[in-house]
Amino acid sequence: MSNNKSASVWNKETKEQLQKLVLARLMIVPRNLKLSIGSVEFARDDAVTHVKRGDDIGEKIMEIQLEFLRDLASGKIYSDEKDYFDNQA
Amino acid sequence: MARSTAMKKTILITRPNHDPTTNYLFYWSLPVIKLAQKKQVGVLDLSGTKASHKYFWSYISSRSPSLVFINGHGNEKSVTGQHNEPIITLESKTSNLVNSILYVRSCSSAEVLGAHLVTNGASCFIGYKREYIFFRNLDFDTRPLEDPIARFFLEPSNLIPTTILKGYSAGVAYTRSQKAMRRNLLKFLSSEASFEERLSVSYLWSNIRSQVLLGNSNAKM
Repeated sequence: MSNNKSASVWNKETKEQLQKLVLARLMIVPRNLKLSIGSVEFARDDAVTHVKRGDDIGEKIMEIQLEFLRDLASGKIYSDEKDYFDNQA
Repeated sequence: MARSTAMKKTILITRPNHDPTTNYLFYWSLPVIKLAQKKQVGVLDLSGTKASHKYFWSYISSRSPSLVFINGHGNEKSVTGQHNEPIITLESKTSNLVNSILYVRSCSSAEVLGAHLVTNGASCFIGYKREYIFFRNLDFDTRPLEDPIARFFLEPSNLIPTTILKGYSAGVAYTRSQKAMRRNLLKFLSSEASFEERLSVSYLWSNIRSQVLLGNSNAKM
């Protein structure tokens, strides 16, 4: 698992808020789905445990969610799409 | 033995299958092999225990495949085969990878190893700067190719080697893979998305952001 450089700069409040958000999203994952992140594979309950612990894997899951939410809120996902497909025309 | 002036194009594929993740990549690489056979491209299929350091470098030095497709685990400085045996590291003698196109479906290897290989003569390296991520459905454990949620992640990834096998450049392959992932992403963000699709969106975005092409984008087999 690579170093979580961005996770290391989160303050306590940010981390706690992000944990709550990520846990809420994880709790609705069906039990028959497994997530493979690199060399580690886990089911929903394992992922929840990691996020609650705030360990390397938990922080990686939180980082992924945070990056997505930030890019969605900033419009980057859609602007990247528009720029991307415009450039392909 | 006299060399033919028109050497048959060859793809080398590593397919370890020692854990659930690599087992999925093992099966999802089969469509690539089938296409290569259809295109009459030579296939060096290093599957299971043959996905080893010894076999890999033996075939690389004797056959000089123009396309090398590696599945497995990895990190910034190495990629591995069966039972996580390192196959390519920063210490590897890479002279026999000169002019090859590499697609490495492994974690983080684009971060350091990819640039190192291109600097040392590989024509092009396509890989991932971070962990490669996918969801899989346990109901399809014995038939991975029918897994509808894994398909969203692995089918666009397969477009890299299949596009190159069809004669297109590495740059076109990269673009097609990115486009397919982005198309899935847009679908997952729409109101028509299924529950599983909505769950997958952040992880698919991570793969999109993480996938890079290093080296010559005009490289072809």
